[in-house]
Amino acid sequence: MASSEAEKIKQDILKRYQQRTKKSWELRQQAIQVLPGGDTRSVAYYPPYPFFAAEGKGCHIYDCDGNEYIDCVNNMTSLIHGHAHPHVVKAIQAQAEKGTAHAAPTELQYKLASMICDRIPSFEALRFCNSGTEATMFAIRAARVHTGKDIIIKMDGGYHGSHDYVEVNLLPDLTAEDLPSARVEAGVPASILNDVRIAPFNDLDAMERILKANQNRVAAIMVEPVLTQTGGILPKEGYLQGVRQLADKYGALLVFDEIITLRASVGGMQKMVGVMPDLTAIGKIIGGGLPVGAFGGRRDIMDIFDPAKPAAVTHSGTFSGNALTLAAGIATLEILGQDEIDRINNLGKQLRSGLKSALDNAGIKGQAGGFASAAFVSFFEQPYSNAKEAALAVIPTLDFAKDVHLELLNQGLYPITRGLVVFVVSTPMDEKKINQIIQRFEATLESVKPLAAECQG
Amino acid sequence: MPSTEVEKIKENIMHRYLERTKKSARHTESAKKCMPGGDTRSIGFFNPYPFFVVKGKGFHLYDADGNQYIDFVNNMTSLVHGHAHPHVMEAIRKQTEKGVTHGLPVEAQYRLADLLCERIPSVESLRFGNTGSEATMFCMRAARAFTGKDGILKMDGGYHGGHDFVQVNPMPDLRGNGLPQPQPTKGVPAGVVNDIFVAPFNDLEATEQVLSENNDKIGAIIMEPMLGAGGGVGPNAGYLRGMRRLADQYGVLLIFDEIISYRLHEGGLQAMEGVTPDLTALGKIIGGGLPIGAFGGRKDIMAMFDPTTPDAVTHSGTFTGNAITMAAGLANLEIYAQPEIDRLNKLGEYLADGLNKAMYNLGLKGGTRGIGSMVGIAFTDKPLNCSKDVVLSLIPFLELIQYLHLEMLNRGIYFLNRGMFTLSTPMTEKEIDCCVNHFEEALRMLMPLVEEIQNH
Repeated sequence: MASSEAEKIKQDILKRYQQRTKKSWELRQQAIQVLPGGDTRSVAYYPPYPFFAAEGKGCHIYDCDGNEYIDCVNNMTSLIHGHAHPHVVKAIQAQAEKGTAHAAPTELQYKLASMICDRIPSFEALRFCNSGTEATMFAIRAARVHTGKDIIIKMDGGYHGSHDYVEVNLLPDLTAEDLPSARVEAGVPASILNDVRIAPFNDLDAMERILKANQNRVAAIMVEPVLTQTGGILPKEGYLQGVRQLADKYGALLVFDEIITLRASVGGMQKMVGVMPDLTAIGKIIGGGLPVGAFGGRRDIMDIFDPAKPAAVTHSGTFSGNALTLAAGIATLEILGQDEIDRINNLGKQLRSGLKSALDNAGIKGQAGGFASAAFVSFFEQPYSNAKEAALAVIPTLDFAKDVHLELLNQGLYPITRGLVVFVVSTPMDEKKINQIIQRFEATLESVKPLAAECQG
Repeated sequence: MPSTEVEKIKENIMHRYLERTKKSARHTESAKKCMPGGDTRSIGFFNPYPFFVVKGKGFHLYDADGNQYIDFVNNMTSLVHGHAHPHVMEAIRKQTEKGVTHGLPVEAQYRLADLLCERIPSVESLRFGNTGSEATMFCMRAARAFTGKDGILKMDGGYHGGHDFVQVNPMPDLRGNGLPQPQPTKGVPAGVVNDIFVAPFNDLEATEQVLSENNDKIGAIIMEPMLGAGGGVGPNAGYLRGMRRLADQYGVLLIFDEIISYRLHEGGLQAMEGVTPDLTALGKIIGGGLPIGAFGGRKDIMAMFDPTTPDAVTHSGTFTGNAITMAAGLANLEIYAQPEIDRLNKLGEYLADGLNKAMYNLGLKGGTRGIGSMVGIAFTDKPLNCSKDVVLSLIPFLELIQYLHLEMLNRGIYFLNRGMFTLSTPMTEKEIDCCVNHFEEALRMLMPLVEEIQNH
């Protein structure tokens, strides 16, 4: 196909986006004055500029130009009941009248804590914080105190928030011939590499070699049961069990980051695969849309934070366990039983199958993978089991995925774009809504089809 | 041997607290089943157990047993209008119906950013986080990315949140008279001290020594212009200007942590003192009682985060800039302008006067620390220049403060158990008078303990 024709399609997609989002562009000019690049959150940005949200209701989001989108982002998987669910709204409004944060304990704290401990078998005790970042940070701190060791093993391409010790290999090492080399992000001190090791996901042999090479120095292995940020990569059969065994064999703790995967079942992915970590970080859905994180697990480890004990480890935070967040979290989990999760997981399955058929029908190479209520669409056919494989396959398709994303927005569908195009299901959705998503995806593929040839040959 | 009189007083105070807070005791037992020690936040804890709050309204807190307290904690200074202020509540109520967070830019983000940039001259552009911890962490990341140097100089006893690289000497080094030695807290890798340097507050000479000895390593100084958690110590005359001068002289960035001190002036303590930092961390009051942090400053430094530039530095976070926090923050600051801030600071001075008089009436050496609407008690008349001075002065009085705190709770006054009182705008002289009267009475009751301490 002549590249000028491809250019025309791209221009047309871009022009239609700009036409639809004039007010967003205007607001952006204001925002640029005081926010670098008009933005306060790197992950929310996409070119040419993100639309400005005016309101969310159920599974829909409305921008300031009045466009309606089916929201398949759900604030990076955190809004499992979509926007402004009446039950959650009521809880927030009722709590706001009693104050949002009090600097004293509230019944809400242990109510939500005990709900979580009842749901997730590995949780004997927990503490709340304000973000997933803080949750993984304090899970790591607990592991370091408990073991007296400093080294953490994390996955190549694993994301656990933004504190310094996990800002290592957020993107996988693409040049590694054997084990990935560790590399810090901009502004993170190089010295932290003394205490962080990087393993490829789904590779027990590499994990054992790292543990052996650092014998008696590893505090914990930190892993998401599904590697979400770099492709929604599922654990191979037996992988998580194997990591559990290796952790035990080498005297390291196993820390799961279930900030995203907790949506997979009431007990998280760990319950589905039957692996008990020592500590777990959670966040996102447990705060009903408000800033939240929590970390918990084995009581003997968590007891280091008991303030009544001599030499207790400190974990504070002005807003940790604040009443408004916990009221919203309780309301969210109250209406999120296993039946409801099963229902949206089934919708997730239908969505993956529908998206895959749409790709096939359009003659575009691709896959629709993922887990539970999330569908990860990629525009390549190679299977991938770690972040490096995923990244190498996705790189040639990045430009195409950008055009797909923008055209999906033009079609009134708002998915996550991170190289892959990710669709997250929320409980206000039903089969009809899933079919609508699939139809809009089909319509999008129809207009971008000529572009696929460029990256897929 | 402790006198039986003192023991009796302590028992009496404890007994009355236990009697008043029976339901809180039961809640604590329930909470212990799923939270270590029944607690989710180290700073909120005190012996025998903190009361469980059911509601806050204005300057009042109500506990599970129906007791009413005048709240001089204000969630660690973060609630400048007290609890459930109608204007803030209305903003929360409205925004909740439009969704709390959307994963997208919203107008309220730049409106709040704009308001902060207008009020604080050194903040040309900024970004939001969820906590003060995140704010100081990203100030440091920005400084490190900008200067290419990993070393950070912080204050002995300076508190900047929970992340690893500031969990070094959050409590001052009490040993010896030389420079404080950096010491990470538990669970923080020993390796962080390669990149963290420590100097005492209000000590330009020591700061210059550390800077000159490590000039090739240090990229930035992070400090509160008034030590908050580190003791409520204000800057001596010329100190902050001296820090600015040293930063320029040694080519390092100056970061102010104004998470606490921002309540003192529309432009922060930096505006009151006429000192311009390169970067500033904010939090607490700017979110209207919801989790928040922000970091900002020089446009050329902040531009590193511009996502449209190549190699932009990443700063994300699921809840950063969420709509409900922005809405609450805007509502909060709209009604916290300079005249209201001045009134509150004056009220703080009125409280300080009252507490000073109360101590004088009882023949106690001492006075107050802090600035404006934040007042701390001191049991010494010696100058307190740094965190070490404060901690050493308080150590003999820890038991006194513990029982004073408990007795004040028995009398319906809630202040922070490290001896700090924070005011909120619903308060008037009436609440201050009430607090001062109870303070004097509670101290009077505890005078045998004071004498025991002084005789040792």
